[in-house]
Amino acid sequence: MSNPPSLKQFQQLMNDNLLSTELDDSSENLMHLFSSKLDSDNNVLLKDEAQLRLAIYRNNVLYSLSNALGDLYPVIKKLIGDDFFKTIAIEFICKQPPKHAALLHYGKEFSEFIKKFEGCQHLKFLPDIATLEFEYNQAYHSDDVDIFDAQALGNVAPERLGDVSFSCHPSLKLLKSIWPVDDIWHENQKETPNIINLDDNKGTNLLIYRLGLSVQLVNLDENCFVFLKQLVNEKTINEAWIETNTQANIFKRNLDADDLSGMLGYLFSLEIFTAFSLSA
Amino acid sequence: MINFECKSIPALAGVGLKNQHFQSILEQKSHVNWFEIHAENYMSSGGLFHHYLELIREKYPLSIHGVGLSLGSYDGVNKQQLMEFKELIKRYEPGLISEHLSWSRHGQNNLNDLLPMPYTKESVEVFVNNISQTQDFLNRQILIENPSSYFELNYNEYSEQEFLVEIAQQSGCGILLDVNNVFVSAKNHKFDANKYIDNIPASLVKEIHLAGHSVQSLLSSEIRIDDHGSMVCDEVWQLYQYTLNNIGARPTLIEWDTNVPSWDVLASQASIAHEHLIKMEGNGE
Repeated sequence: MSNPPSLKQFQQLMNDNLLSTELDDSSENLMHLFSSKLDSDNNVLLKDEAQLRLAIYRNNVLYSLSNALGDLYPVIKKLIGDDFFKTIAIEFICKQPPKHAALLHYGKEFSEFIKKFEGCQHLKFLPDIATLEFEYNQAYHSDDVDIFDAQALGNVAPERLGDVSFSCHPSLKLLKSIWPVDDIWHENQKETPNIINLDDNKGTNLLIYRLGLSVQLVNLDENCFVFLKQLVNEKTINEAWIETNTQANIFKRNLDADDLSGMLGYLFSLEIFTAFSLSA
Repeated sequence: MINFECKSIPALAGVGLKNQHFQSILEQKSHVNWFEIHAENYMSSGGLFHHYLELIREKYPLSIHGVGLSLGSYDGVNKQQLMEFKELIKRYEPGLISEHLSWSRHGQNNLNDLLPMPYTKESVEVFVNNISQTQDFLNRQILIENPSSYFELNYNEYSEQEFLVEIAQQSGCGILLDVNNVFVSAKNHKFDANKYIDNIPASLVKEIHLAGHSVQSLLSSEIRIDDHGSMVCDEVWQLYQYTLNNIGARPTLIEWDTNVPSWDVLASQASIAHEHLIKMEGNGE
């Protein structure tokens, strides 16, 4: 590049070089733009110095972002070890840099990335743990809202109760996994986790939400999970209950008519609903 | 949500707010008179961070410091991020608002670092446009902070301080003078830190930053890295006193963002700044 680059060209060169761990022609073009005040009697090669100066910015970008990912995915980091985590994180960052300056929401695609990453594929539960950690973080920073008091339903005529639907806490997420992801997550909060037997075929029907300031992870019974999923999708109690029965029949799970009030009472006790409405 | 009224920042010591210190701040007395947050850490709608920030804002004035608006980007300011920045300002009514003389976004990529600008006429135009757009949108003056840098470009048409003063005069923004950054860049690029300070008009400076930095070897010489991970060094305290003598007392912030220390250690750094400040004429407690 003989003429000085435009600002756009300079920022493009920097972008390409900071999101890379290699030195290539574009690195040469960039480093030619660095001024040097080395004394003429200094025997040091200018090129070496330019590479080190570029490396400082590269380290700042890649290590600050990999540290940020490590903070967002502490259990993944613990499960695969710091060094391997750093390797995956740097590859992820170079391919999918943050689209927003606020890193609270960074790394949504990390679960999908891990699923395809060679060297992780034997740990089949990892992508679901990553999804859990992402949703945990989102819940941690989500909106503050008031929970509604179930007593308010007392004003609804008993024959109309089946037509009630609910609004849920904005942090609420449902996560189904064939792996015991909640056990894995809880064990890895401890200094020395206990061993979890993955051959027990214990799946998870996880409810993630925030209660006050702390995030809750609740493993629901299969029927209750189906029922809540319908309610989250703004179905009425009647509609949700019908679907829960249908699925219980298909998958041959026990479900009694009496279970409805128990299930509703349990869900109220979790404090996940913010309002109700009555369909016409 | 509480409705706050804008509270101006006194010419005394403040510290960068870290979530590790939330509880200690509410429980302890210190010479810390105000707090500064990185805007991007609070670009969420609720939860623990906002819970504590509201409690702290009830007791202290606040400054909001952006690290991600990327005012040096050739293709303008990201509207979505600017709107979120404004939301935060409306919610907490800060006494001061600031950003950096740098860029961090290219297209959709946010590189999460304060990257150096070429100091050219084209950059002046880009910077002034982006600052003006930001100030118009916020309906407030913002301050621009001088960065630390690890290379200079061989086609610069201005020195850093010339560039900073030029954009401040053209856009009407103020200057956040980071004394540690002046020291770090002066060492890295072998210029005179005192002369840099001399060339900044006192009336433009509305806030000062202080922080620790580290020293790394660079082939046969050394390079200073602005990592905000240690105490302010003696030479930077001396340059700080030189700055105060030149421009007078200004709100002064201690930043400590990596290897975050206990609240007591951070507060004791603020106490040192406090001692410098209250000795200045007309700035007694």
